[in-house]
Amino acid sequence: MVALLKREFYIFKHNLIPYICTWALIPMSIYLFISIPLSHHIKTDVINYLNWSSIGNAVSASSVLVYIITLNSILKYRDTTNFSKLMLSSPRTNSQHLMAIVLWSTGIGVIQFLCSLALTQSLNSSNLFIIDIILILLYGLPIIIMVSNIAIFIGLIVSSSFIRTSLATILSIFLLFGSGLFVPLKGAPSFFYYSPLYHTILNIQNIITIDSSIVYPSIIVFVISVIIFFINLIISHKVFRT
Amino acid sequence: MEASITLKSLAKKFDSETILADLSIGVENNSNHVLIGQNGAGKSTILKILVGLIEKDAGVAYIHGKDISTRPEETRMVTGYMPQYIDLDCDMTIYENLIVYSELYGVPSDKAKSRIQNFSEIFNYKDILFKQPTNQSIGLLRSIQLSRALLHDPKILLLDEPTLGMDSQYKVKVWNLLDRIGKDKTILFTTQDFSEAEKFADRISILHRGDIKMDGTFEKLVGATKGLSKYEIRFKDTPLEDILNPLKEMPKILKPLLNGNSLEFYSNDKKDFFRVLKSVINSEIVDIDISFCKLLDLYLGLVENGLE
Repeated sequence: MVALLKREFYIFKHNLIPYICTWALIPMSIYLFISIPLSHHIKTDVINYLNWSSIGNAVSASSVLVYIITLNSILKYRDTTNFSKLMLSSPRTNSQHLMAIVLWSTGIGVIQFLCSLALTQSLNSSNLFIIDIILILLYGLPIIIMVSNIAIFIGLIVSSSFIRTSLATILSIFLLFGSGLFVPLKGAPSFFYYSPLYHTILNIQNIITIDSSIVYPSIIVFVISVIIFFINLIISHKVFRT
Repeated sequence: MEASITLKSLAKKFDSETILADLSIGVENNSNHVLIGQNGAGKSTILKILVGLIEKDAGVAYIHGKDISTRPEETRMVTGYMPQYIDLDCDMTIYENLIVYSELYGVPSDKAKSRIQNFSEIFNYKDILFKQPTNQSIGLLRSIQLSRALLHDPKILLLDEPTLGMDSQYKVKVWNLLDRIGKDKTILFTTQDFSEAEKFADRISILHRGDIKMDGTFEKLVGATKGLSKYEIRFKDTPLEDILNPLKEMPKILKPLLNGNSLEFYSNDKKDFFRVLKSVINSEIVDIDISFCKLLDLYLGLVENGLE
């Protein structure tokens, strides 16, 4: 697996500037085009909206980036490319290939998460304690891992690029506006409240608003990610090497 | 001798097209074995099945006695594969390509570096080692691919047309290298170059329509023709088709053909040649060529179903 991660690192090294630009531009765009306009309409308790939405900024920016990176990687395996042939003829198992994709995209996602948090916090002149940042990251990490696994799942089962793009759009809209990232889910249909994603995000927001948090929503999201990973592994045996 | 690679009743279909049909073959340990056949005969498919790039539909395949379906990681670990197409990753430098590959096969870093150094000197790509593999000649890229396949010092080498697109200088380097390091390796390769097959293979398998038509050493294959020779009589002017009529009445004459100004046929009896010569003596003959049946003749004869 180290070899697979090393490959990603070499490519990353050659594309460092685009990555840095992405890490800065995604949260900046979300801040400018979502957070600021919504701050004029949404009032939040305890802290101001711009500060409250910084969690939404970090989660959505990292999720979008992780989704793109993961989908891009899995499609290289799915489509019969020279790269996939080289990788699949090596003595590495499908689980190692999938694990490498998840680990690498999660790593990039974590950097994006921290960059977004740093950017929004500095723009709002607010200070988070190191322990808060660690907790926010720990509780947010399962979401990044789950998005990566969902992207692998979609990449493996959907061959049409049109359907893949449509699904990505629906997922983005759900994540941005249906999981309490930017719009508090007051008055939303009750099924939204059963979503483990919503509870995880609410839990992370609680860290900066009421200074308390619980771990189980993140654990549920992580368990879901593990289940999706194993489903992906089974599907990969049908999709790879056909 | 012990077999390194064993294929039993292998079958593969792509859509409705049968690529391999009940194919069985054994490749002896530490031998050079060549697969020859037309495009689409199934040569590359055999190699791809062995490295796990495609799944077989039926049959079993063993590498060093291990089933490739149940122990794929172990069998791939001892195998070096060079595909027919260029598959170097253009997002990385040549050096990074080779390092990543060696790590995929668990080669220690210091060993990998010294082997890369060694191969880059042999194939003269030391100067471009830290450049991306774009805008380089096919011959050079193929030689990098061969180096890559050898990085983990595999016991089995699967080479899909290893010298395809190479100039003669690179071809010589490739065969010299394989000759030098191949003593304790089993090499299964495919080629369209029959002189390469005659020169470098210990054993030759002729594939046609997904099955082995003939298999054996070059001497055995040619011996099977019982001294079959190819005769060619060249005339000053293009002869009429009628010239073939007396040949058709001679049962031992095989595949008589008018090729431009030349009359070609196969026979293993010289008397037939003299009879043909007698029948065409009134036409102006400019040259006569007699050659023992070579691998190419044998192959063409088999494929075109004339010499079977």
